[in-house]
Amino acid sequence: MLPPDEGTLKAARKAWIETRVVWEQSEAFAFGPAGSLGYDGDLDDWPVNEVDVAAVLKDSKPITPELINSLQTTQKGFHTIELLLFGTNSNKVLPFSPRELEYLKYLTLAFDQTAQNLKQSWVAGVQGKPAYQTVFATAGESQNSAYPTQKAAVEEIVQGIMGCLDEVGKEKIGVPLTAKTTDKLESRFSYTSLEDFKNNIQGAENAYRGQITDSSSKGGESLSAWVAQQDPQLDQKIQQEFQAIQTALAALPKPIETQMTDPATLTQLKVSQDAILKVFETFEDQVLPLVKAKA
Amino acid sequence: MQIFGGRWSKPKFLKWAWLCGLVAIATLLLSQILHPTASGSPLAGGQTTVLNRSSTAYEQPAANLTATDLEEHFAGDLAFDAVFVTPPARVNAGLGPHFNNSSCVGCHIRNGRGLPEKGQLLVRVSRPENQKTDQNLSPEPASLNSYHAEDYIAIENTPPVAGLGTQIQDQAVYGQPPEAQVEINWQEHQGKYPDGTPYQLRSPQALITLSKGQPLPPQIKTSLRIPPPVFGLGLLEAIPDATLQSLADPEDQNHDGVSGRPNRVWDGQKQAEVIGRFGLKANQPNLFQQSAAAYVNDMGVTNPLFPESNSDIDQQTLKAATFYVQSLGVPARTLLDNPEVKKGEHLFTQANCIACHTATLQTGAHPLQALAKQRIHPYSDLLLHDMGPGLADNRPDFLASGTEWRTAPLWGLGLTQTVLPYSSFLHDGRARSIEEAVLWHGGEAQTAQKTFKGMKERDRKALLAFLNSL
Repeated sequence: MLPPDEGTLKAARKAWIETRVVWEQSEAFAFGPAGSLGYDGDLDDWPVNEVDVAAVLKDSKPITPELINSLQTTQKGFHTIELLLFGTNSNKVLPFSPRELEYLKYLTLAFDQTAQNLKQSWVAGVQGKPAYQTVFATAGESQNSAYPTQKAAVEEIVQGIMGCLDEVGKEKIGVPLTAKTTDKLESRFSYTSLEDFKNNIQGAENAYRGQITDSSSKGGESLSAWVAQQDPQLDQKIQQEFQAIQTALAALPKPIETQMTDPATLTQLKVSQDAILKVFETFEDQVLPLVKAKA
Repeated sequence: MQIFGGRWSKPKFLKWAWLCGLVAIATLLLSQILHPTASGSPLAGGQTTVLNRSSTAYEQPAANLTATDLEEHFAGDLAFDAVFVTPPARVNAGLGPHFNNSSCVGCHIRNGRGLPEKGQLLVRVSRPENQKTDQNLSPEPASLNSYHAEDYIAIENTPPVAGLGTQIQDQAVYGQPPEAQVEINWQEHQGKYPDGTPYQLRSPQALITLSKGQPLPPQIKTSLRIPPPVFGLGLLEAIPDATLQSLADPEDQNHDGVSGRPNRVWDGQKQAEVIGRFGLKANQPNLFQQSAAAYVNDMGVTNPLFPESNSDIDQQTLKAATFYVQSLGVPARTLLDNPEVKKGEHLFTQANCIACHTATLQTGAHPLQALAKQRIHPYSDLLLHDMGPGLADNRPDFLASGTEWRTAPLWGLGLTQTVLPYSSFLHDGRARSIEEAVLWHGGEAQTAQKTFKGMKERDRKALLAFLNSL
């Protein structure tokens, strides 16, 4: 392995941030094998066990795939890679020690394998189990042990959106807002917690609109299209409320990690939180009952 | 397509009613509108019932919490989610040094029934009772100076094993050896219904290797466990002792072949022997103690009830996590109007499964008002029953013998694999489906199991459809 230079370090950090986008956008529909087969924990546990990460770096035991496999989830995945790449306050500088590079390399390989497994569990099935996309798509069929009705599958999408909104509003923003510190900001090592908020919200909106990225065109089959059919005003209201969240988040200073003592930041965080919880309420009070009554 | 049966489809109505303080009247009206089936209604958890048949169904706050309760529930949710790390740390310090997992939710993923996999599966151990010391346990058990000895109390009949205590922590902070490594080998068993239909069961064999590489001596008693679901437990805590005693029939005086009895366990706060109701052998008296024991035994997080030399978490955190579990709602039943489900429910009763899986109970008083005076459908009597040699762990725990287990509540059962795909059933997760779980029933449940086996295929399917509607 060639020693990293400023260019390769920048590229690695950029790759981390880009991977994060996809993951955070997927959290609104992370039901299924992501939880039960432990992929979610392996990829994205939090916080980092900084003491034990330091112990790995200090140790002389060779770093191997087996060693990585034996580590706690808080010594691998996104945030440990983040800590090693960015340092505790987005302040890490070259050179990296050979041990740091080895640890990073094997963590990244393990991460990639876990991500592949997660994909596999949906598209082809793992450990002899059926592909989860098939399980989900056959909701309502008599042998389906996960979704005995199609309505339950629609509800899954709605609950996923609500769960994501709830988590960003009450936990990812709510807890640091109350504590007024950076301690509980999710991606505080890389100073990208604000990107996480935005991507989580984008994921919730994508789940609603039946799209993968903001740029892809809105297809015919989506929760949004169905709601619009039942109640066009409700659909419009939801779209506007999502827009209001993105506007509120866009007004936050970037990076947010250095601004947590500024009262203006805290005020704007509260505005964002309120906007998120507003859409949550709309889903809880209007979309969910509509699904239960008519889907 | 109906998910909550007939006219029961408007949670907004329920919420509105609650806001107006009319929930009692609303529920009464609803349960009259929804012509009750044998178990009563879709409201499995009384007024705590949540209308949710998605993967989040076990994570919902009870429907009848007050605004203050909800705030407390949310604080508890954070405690339940908190992932502990090796001290010192800015956030969540206190893990280990020995542990099975680093958060409550790490085992109880989405509050559901877990899988027999590392991080979820745990092994309880004890010394044979007639063996007062470890001298006969050769070779040397484990690292004698570095292991987690779980608290041992006078009336407990699970003497700790040197180097292990009463629970194997198969993980440790970096640089320390775990107490042991646990590997599961599955043994397949072929079987046949009387009508000739074949089936396959599997049972686990644990290969336990101590930290120095030697196998666990065979005379050590072991019991494999997977995490049970955690919703609805507050309601079970609110069932009066007298109710459990009235359900008990230790001498089988009604001659139905079923003779349940409550466990008697140690209450560390009261310093007294009381009825046990939580845990797979009902060896915990209440959720506070259950939670405190889980913190210290499963995560190595010391706490006010089990402080050891210091407390990693304070009383408030321990109470918050307990409150979270107490205040979770129970998912409503689905497909109530489905003829197959109705037939299955009838068959379930006819086969006398309800002798232990009691359909309806009434809660008494509870400090959390939302749990008090609720008519609930847990499908459990919380009593110990002999389940036969096939399921026996041969490790007694207080009054529970080596063949006895506490009746598993069946509410929310049909959502098991919605919440956690591929998760499995029974204490050690050996049953890959509800059908396999039924087939494992022996001992006092042998007659019911035989009745099930003897049913026509479509009746067996109907009974399983009923269980899936819970």
